[in-house]
Amino acid sequence: MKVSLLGYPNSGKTSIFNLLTKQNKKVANFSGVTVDSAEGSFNIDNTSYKIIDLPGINSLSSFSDSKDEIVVSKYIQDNPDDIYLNIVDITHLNRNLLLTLSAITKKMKLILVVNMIDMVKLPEDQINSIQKNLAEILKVPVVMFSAKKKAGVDNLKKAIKNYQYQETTLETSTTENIKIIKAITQKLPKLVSKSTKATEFLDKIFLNKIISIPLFLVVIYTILLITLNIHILFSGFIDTLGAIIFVDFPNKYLASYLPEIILIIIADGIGGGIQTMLTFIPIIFSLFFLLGILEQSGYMARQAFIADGIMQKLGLPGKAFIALTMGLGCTAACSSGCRTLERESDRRLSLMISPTVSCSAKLPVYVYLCFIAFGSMALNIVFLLYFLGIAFAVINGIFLSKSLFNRGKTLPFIMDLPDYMMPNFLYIFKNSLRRVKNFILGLGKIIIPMVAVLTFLSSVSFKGEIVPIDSNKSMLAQVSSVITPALNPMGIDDDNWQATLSIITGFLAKEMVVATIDAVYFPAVNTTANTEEEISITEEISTAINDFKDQVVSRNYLDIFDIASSYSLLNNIDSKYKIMMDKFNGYAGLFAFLLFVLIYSPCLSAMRAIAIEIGAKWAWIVGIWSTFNAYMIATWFYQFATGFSRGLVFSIIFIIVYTGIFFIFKHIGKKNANIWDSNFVFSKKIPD
Amino acid sequence: MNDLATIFLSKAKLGKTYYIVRFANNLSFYEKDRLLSYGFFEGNSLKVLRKSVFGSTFQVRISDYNLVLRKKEANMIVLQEESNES
Repeated sequence: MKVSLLGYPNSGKTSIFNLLTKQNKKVANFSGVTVDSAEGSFNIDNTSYKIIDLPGINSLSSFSDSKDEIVVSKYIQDNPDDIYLNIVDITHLNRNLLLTLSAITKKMKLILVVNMIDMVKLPEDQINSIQKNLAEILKVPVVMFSAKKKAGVDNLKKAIKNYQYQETTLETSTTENIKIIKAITQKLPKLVSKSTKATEFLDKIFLNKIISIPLFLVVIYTILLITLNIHILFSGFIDTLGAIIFVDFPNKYLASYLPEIILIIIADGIGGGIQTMLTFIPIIFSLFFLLGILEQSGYMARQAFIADGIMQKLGLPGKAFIALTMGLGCTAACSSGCRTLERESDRRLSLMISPTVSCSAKLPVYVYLCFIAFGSMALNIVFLLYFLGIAFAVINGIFLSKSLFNRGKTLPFIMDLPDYMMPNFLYIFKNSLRRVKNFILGLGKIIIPMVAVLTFLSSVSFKGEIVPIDSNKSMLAQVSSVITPALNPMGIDDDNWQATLSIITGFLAKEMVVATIDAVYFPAVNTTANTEEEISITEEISTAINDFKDQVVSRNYLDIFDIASSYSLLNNIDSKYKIMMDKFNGYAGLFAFLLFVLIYSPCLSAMRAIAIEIGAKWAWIVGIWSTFNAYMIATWFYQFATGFSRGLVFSIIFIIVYTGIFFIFKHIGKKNANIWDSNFVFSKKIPD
Repeated sequence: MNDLATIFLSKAKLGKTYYIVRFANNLSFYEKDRLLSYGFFEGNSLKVLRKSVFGSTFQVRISDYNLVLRKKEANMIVLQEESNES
């Protein structure tokens, strides 16, 4: 027997799911489109039931192109024998019941679960009379429920067990449905939820015309600062531990059994890759945890309201802002966030502009390079890069919405502004852990094989000899040297093939940029002396743990701007500074490089996520477009920074190129506008 | 009794309570479906709480929940002032 949960977003489906299954939650994929949905099981009197938590939807009509709604509609079509638990929020009965009525008229097997009865504080006999009233009019079993107080579980199980389908006599017309809803809700006592007053008060602050935008910037700044501090605190320890386990260990114990090239791939390549990527776990966790709090508390939806003016200029619904903010965590998360957008072209446009929203993996790249180059100014430069990225996203969005995505019509945009709510920290914690888990799994699937190949290419010359990674004789270095002249205009000279190499590895994963730079620029600086001595692995680990303990104890937590002091990758900073300044022709070249890293193509796993949402072709377009922009903007900056007149000349080229692209895009957009959103029946008019 | 003037939501005064009278003419089925699914029912009370900085987005309260909608959608909904009688 299968039971499915159906309802509006925020109606409490997931809490009911967790109550029934006692949190046997696992993520299921729906055919083709991977909309996250949970699947579990529970027992009633020794009979096992499968339960599926469908995505929250606003409407069951077939007139939608929102992926969530398509998935649910299709699921209902394919599974007519499921019992559907329609969860409705008692405080929003009148609109929730519209979904219920359309489900009933679709002849689905329905049990109505009226949730959140604790919110209305009614005496029991009144609750019972509401239930009776609903059951009488709708002719479906009605269960009164409170997920928060865990009340109603037994009744619900009884209702599922005794379910009998009753033929409906209700009509399908909308006006008829509204009459029915009126008849039901008029008998209800006036319901006022408790949180409304607090919401009104908080809205006066967070939606205030003057302070809301500065406040939002402060919030984002704080999130980045906290994440940065967490990164700094843990990265050294994780880095050392990772090196001991994944690099030193195979080097020490496998050296005598394996040929050198295999050892290099296992220890320096895969081991080194794992080592670097492990240092990202605190960042990813922290960013998703903090963004999760913003999202659950209701703050993020309000920012979508504030930013909606800009989003309108881009022809995007305000919801896209939330998806783009998720891009601060990971571009892959942004692309799954785009599922809530209703139009295919909206999803495409959002993902076209998403790469410049700096993801968590870019943070360490900025930190690392900025601390080497800009010293005490580093932190400001890091934040400057973040805000430049957001500005680029807006400019890019305006450019594209006027050319390639010039669609004339905008969709009706209506969005819920849920009351502020105390976030469920446990849930956010688990969700962030899930993100970390996905990150590690993604690392296994794509990154490790790629790193293995890459290490091979960077350790072997075309003649088949094994060469050190910093040598310019390896195959990868040779290829990089061939590409490097193309990067001359943005300040990367021919002798700086290492920069090209780190850009290439950054395609695999942004975190690889740091790993590559650290390995190929500063091999001598980083060499450790302890290879001679025989220290056991356990001893090394305990030293690392002790160092970490010391650091945790000695760190001054009040000084959150004190970042550099404990950043382990920054050993020998002076000599690194000299090398970088020399290689990149000073600050101008280095900042141009940072701009390039900020703007260019998302990494491989993000590209995969984008391809899942909008197709492989569009993922390619996103990658090429962002890399092209990165090249143009980095070059423009470098030319201006190194000579005003050259800057002016390039500005003219810049303007000509983009004007040309604008008109080409406009032409393509015009030709395809009707094809791209062909599934979307926006303009279809049906007499009611 | 319906002698009170009707206005579009986009022209409603901030903080004042209105009733939804009907939708604008010429709406597509899709648009009607969307509006209904967000609870824009005839007879529901509605209050415009605030406009965004650029004045192009509205925050409204229907019975007891908040919604955000744009000027275009605000022009799809016809309101009537709350009458003092009854």
